[in-house]
Amino acid sequence: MKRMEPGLLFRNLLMEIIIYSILIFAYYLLVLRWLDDWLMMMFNTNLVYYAFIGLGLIFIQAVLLDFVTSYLMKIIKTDQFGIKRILDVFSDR
Amino acid sequence: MYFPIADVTVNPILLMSVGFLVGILGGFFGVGGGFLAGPMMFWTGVPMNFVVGTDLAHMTGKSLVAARRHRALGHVDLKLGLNMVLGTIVGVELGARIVEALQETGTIELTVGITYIVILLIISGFTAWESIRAIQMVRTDQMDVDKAVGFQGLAKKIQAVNIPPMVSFPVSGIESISLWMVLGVGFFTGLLAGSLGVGGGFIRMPMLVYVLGIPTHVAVGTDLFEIVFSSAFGTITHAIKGNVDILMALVMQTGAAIGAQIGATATRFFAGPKIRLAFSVLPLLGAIMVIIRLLGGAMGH
Repeated sequence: MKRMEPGLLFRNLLMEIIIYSILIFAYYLLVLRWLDDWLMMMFNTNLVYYAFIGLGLIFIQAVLLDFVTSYLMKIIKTDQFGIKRILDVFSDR
Repeated sequence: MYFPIADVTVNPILLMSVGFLVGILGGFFGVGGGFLAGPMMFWTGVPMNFVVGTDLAHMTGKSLVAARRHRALGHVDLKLGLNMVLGTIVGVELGARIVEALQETGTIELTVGITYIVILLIISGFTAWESIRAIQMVRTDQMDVDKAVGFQGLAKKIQAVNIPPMVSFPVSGIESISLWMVLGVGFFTGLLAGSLGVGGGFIRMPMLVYVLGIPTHVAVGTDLFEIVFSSAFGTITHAIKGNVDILMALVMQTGAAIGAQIGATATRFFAGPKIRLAFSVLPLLGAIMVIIRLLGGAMGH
């Protein structure tokens, strides 16, 4: 496999992280910032519900983010955010 | 951004960055990363009672992402993980009771701190010594890099113990081992984790490799699978006590998700001994953090 320059590889990784960051920022504006009142109300009224719903939200978000990152990986077709090409430079395999 | 539950204003980008950094470490080494995330969160201004619980909550999501990625790579032994969870839960509970007993004597901070430092230094020193030896074995004996382990004696003895029921773990390449040994490792790591107040990832990962003889990549993935359960349990416990800011954990997790995937994918490009050699630095960092905390406490008095 032809190896790329480390500088170019890091630039690609940076660009791909920026794309992800933009998506996350949109997610933050559209979803996360609207949750605070609802979570605060639950925190003040019933901590058991708060605990289990909170854990549910963590699981749901983890799975959704996993899908987003996997989907991005397929679209850009550079394996995991360019990390494969970067690691090929240093890999011992 | 204002987080009303923790009653603190923290820059969300800073929290995402902490999640990202700890996510890379978690995905690559199979650790929760609480020993690094905790001080970083405290440094950003999060109240101490929310640091531990919120860190556990974000760790749950991050470990789930990393464990899913490792599973896709064939690095998670579900059967081993589920068997170990039983021993871990009992160990964590007993460890928590030991802490309660120590609290009554009033020496908990010093006792736990010194025990923690000693254990971390032993793990760090031993892992570094073993992995360097394994790398030398690969060079001198032309050994397959994935099979090179500089210390195999204990794992072979453990696998030779014949106390029924005997179980097999095909994913880990173990044909037969006593279930009691697996439960015992889970119990011991749970006991240390429960009494030291940590997730236990950097105790469990080397124990899986050196005591049970699990290949490094599978040990990392299976450890993350266990962390999902242990940190979820911890999240519920702390949240019921009002020590978790879920919104903050969700923000941290957005950064951790990508970090964990990068870390997990990165393990494909490094052989076991090199992963273990890099891993040996983590317990050392953890020990330094505890020493600083103990010295800070002593000076505070």
